[in-house]
Amino acid sequence: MTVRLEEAFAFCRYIVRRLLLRARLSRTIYLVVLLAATGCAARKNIFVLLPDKDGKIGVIEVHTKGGVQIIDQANQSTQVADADSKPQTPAILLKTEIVAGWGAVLRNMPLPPKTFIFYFQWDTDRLTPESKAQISAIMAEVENYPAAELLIVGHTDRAGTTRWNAGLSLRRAKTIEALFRETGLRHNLIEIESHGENNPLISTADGIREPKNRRVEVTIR
Amino acid sequence: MSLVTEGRHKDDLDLSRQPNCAKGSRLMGIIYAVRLRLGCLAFFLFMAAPAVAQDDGVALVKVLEGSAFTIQGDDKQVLSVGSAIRREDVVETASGTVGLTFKDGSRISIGPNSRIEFKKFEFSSKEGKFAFFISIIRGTMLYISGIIAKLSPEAVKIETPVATVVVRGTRFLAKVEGD
Repeated sequence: MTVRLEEAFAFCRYIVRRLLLRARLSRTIYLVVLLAATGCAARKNIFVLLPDKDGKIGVIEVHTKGGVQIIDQANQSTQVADADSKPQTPAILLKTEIVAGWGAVLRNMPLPPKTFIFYFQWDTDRLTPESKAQISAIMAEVENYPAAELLIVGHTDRAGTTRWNAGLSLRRAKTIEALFRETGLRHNLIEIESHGENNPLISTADGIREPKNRRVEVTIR
Repeated sequence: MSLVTEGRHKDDLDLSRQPNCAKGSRLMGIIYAVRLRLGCLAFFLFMAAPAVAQDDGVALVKVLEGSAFTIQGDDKQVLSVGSAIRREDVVETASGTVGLTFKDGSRISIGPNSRIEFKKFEFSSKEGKFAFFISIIRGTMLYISGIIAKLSPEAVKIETPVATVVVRGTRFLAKVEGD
């Protein structure tokens, strides 16, 4: 008798569990359908090409399953209604429309990275007097960048062997790194590279001394 | 982790309470096996997560107005100026705006009520590997290209739920209406 009762209990529990499982499943299916429906619903997109700061105008291509629209004029925009239709015919937006739609992102863009060049005396890691005089101005520039990061890249001219120059360009980069360390930048915010004689500013034949190539480039971002 | 072990523990208890009903226990066994397999899957997914988290940052927060967050799995972090964005992070804002500079000098700012997923970022001139792939799920964004777009324009891809933008330079705005 007790065995029968136990069996009956077990069966009930099994049925309840099945029902619960099914309820959970149907809820999942409902959610999936809902997600799919909202995903397919029209979520309008707008893309606007802005001129560069120097006035140059780039190009963007907006692709959907329905086609492509090429945007290549200042403040030109295209809208996308859904994934299957071609992006709409481009239209020029007014400045006021741009500010109304994107004021916050235009206001909060980080500063553009800036690159400075330090020049060195021939075959040494000693700065030229002109470059030495610029140190404090460049240091001050770092202060303008919140959470500033530095990329320091050493170079040489093509006088001397490739191997010697690899070492020399690293020594130059480290000289500049030491200068910036004093300003209290954390170790992980400074990156160093040494390109030796491989990336000259002015290309020359091997063995040629070229003051413009004896340099360290510092990019602040 | 705790979730997985809890799940198993509960199943163990259920099993110990199993009566001698052949039909019931066989089905329970199947359900248990499925659950266990799901549990293992969750466990492996969990184990895979730290490998992603250990990756270097790809960008830093430079500008912040209001509040913004990164989300990776269940991990939600409040961003501040100097916070790193990692590979495969999702950035969300409510009323805030956040400006990021990437390692290659690409910059984006993300407006209020936005959700942006960072899909892929590769910047290695030595190996010639470049990728900049982000997905705007909703909200507004300003993008300005960096060195990746200069060296390898085809490596830059910005997508939304309905469109993909190929960038051949340099500076553009996007808006994706959400739910």
